[in-house]
Amino acid sequence: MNKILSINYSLYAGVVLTVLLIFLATFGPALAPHTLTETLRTRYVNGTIIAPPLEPFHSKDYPLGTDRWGYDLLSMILYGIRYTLIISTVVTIFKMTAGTIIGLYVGTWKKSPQWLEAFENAWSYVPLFIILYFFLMPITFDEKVESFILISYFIIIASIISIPSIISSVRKKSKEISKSIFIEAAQTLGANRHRVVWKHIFPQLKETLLVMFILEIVHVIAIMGQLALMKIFIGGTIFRPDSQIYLSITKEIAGLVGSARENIYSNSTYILYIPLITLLMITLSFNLLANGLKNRIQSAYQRTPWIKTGFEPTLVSKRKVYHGKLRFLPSGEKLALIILILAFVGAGTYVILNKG
Amino acid sequence: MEDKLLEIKHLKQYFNIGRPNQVKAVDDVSFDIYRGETLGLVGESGCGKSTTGRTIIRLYDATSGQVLFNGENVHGKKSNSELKKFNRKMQMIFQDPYASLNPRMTVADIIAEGIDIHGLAKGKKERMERVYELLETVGLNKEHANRYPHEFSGGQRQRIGIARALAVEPEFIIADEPISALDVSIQAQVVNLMKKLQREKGLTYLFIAHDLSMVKYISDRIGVMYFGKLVELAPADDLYKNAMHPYTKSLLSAIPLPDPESERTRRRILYDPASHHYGENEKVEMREIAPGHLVYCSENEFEQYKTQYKK
Amino acid sequence: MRILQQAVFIFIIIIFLAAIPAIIEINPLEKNITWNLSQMDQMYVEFIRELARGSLGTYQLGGQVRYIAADITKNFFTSFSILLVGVLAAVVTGLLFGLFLSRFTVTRIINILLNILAAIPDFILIIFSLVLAIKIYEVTGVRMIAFRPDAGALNTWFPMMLTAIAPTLYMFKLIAVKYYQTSGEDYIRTAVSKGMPANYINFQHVYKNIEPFIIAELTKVVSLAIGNLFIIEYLLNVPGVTKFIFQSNQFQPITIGLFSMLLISLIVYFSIRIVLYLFKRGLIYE
Repeated sequence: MNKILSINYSLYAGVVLTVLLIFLATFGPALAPHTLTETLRTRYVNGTIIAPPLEPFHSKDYPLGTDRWGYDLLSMILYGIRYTLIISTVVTIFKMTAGTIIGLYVGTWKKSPQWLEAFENAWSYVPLFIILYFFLMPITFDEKVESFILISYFIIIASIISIPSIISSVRKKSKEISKSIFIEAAQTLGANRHRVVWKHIFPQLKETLLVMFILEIVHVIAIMGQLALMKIFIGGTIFRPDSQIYLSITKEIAGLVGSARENIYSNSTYILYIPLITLLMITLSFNLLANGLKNRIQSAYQRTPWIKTGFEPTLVSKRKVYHGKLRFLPSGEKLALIILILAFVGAGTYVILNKG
Repeated sequence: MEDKLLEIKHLKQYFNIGRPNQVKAVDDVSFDIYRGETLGLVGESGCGKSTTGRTIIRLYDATSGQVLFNGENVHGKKSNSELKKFNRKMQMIFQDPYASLNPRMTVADIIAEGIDIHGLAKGKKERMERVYELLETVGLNKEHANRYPHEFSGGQRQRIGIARALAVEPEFIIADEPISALDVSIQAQVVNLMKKLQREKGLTYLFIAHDLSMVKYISDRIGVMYFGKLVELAPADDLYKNAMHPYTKSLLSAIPLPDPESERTRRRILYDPASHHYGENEKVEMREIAPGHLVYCSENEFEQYKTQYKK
Repeated sequence: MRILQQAVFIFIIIIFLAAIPAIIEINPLEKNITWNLSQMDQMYVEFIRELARGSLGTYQLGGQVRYIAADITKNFFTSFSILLVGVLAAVVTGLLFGLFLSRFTVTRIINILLNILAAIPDFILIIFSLVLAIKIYEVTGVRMIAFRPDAGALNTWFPMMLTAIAPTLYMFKLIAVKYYQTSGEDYIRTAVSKGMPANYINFQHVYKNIEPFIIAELTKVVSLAIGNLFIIEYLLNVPGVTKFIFQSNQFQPITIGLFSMLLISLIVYFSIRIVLYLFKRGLIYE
């Protein structure tokens, strides 16, 4: 019983789901049953009318149904998922790289400058999506600018405005470590700042930064979702005044949610649910992955509480094995990972071959 | 006269300057260290002896004063290459063998850090050979190289710390309470190792400790610190025989002896700084009451101490 | 000094943000984005002139032009009450379930639920809550939300609840993690070994040690609540200060809206600080 409870489900589920997402992002358009311009024409099949909006799980050709104009929801999602993932990852890479480097170095200063702390504090007051709203509102609508430019614009601004919060948290962690005596020991040996940062502080923070990276991806997706609720879709919004609807150009998932928002009051709420659940799955899989990694790291260093807190973890820490036997086949987690990668490659080739 | 390796002149280290909580951790301290000797620095906790060591090696920037190493000033603006030169000649052994080793680095990487920084080895093979050699010098063996610090006991870790300091072939080592975090049975081993290394490599030590009994064993001369000031500096035997400053006397009276008879009759002498009754215009400074024996005192006390001094 | 610097930074951020919609322009021929910075000083001058005349200017609401001064008091208090209740609820539930009640078996279910919800981004939770409210209306006929700005009490309590969601989850997670960390400390062991009851330890030893973290994260909590307030007022058509912000691209109403928001968040922040202070004085130091 204990053994079953102490499995790090969060990590395994997170890894599998994330690999699945990467697969969909890579081969999405190849998997999609329809193109983005194909629509379902109203027709009679066996005496019943098939007309958009088509409900999900009713037709083999349109497994997740269609929207009001007959566009296939599944295809839209398969096309859009790569935008969501790539945009959020690229933003995260930019902001994490800049924030980590600046944070690490500022943390090694004897005193962090007062104006920097004041700025970080002031900045943390302002919700980021509002800043982005002001930047994107004048340019997003009606295809005045190309999608690609809009996406790059979003990436740049979103990266820049979220750097301060990352600097702030990395700086605090770096400061904590740079007080250690082993840093002083390195300094007496003549280590310069670069060496202290990259050989001593960074290795201590590696795991924390990895978890932070994954959580920041979720954060970017959340910002995209908040903007989508304001009808600002990354890559551009098309406004159709005649039917009062807003459409996402790129079919990015948060955008799909935003453009389907009005369906909340209609009879075909599934048009909203399907992209919403996809988005939920994306964020959940990243959250699971981050949580799983965090559990694994924490279980090794955590002190056991003296009083009943109600938050006792069930995980057993993973310890390094130094004198394991050499085996021909790797076992356990390594084997599972290899199988997962093989499955990824296999399914990928299958999709490409079938397409050809 | 013996060859001076290090001269410390009017060293001051104040913290929180200009604020109500200003602390004079080191307050106008001057002394010399001769080549090849061991200078013990003792005092109660918080008296500034560790700060003195750390300021000498530039972990803190001195508020004022000079530290001359072979006649060259260590403090003040320096180029990177000059600083590196000093870092090679001057090293430090830290008090806490647990905190002073990076838990994420292998012993080999910890020891080789100085070698990497100063480029003392050509290629990986030479680097590892140096590491093995150093491990053997401090009484560990080759197999320990690829392990992590947490796999070692306190004494072994302190040996690693010593090996790390030796890696850059220093002339002068500041040992900041190197044995106070260790088990009593291990302390002697580490001290003996340090003495052995001193003989073999001609090292000079500044040995900081709060325990007079061990300091007496290792030091040639001993300095006593009280509240940021050096109050007495004398050859080790002389200090024990002819302690002059009341604070030194009080410290000596606190050493327990492994003899129940004398322990029962041992009287603690308490030190009260007010007992000096220094006048407003009296100049209190380090005065030499006998060759090599300096006491922090006023003119009146100076005469008094001189008469008290037994040959 | 530090607070002054912060105030200056926030001031600069706000007047810069408010100007952005008017500065950024699209060059229709080249399909390029251009920054028309030259308009900026003119806008600031006009803004100050308008204020000097004793008027707050106008804004557009559904095609009609209205005076900001006429609506600002009512809108201010609507937003203020929503934010205050939201943040207060966050701190109270966070403390209750994250710390004081967390050890009981019954509350454990709530803890698990809160933990799961915390993994979902807040905007998704907002949509789900809307769906839920509509479903409840469809099934039982009980109205939980209104989309008309003149619906009275319905206009405030549902937005309050939605605004509270994200900060509550954030606060809960923070307190739960800190509680768990603190409970492994040696001073807790000492307290346990002296036979002190769990409640006493929680109040006297744990709470005192995690209070600094709560205060440090309070700005973040308020910021989360503001972000959600913007979305909720927009989605539910609540007549709050965001009305000035979302209805137009003009500099004047946006600046006034943002400054009102700043004022609201400051009042909320300090109210919570006072509540926490009273809690500490009243309950912990007897």
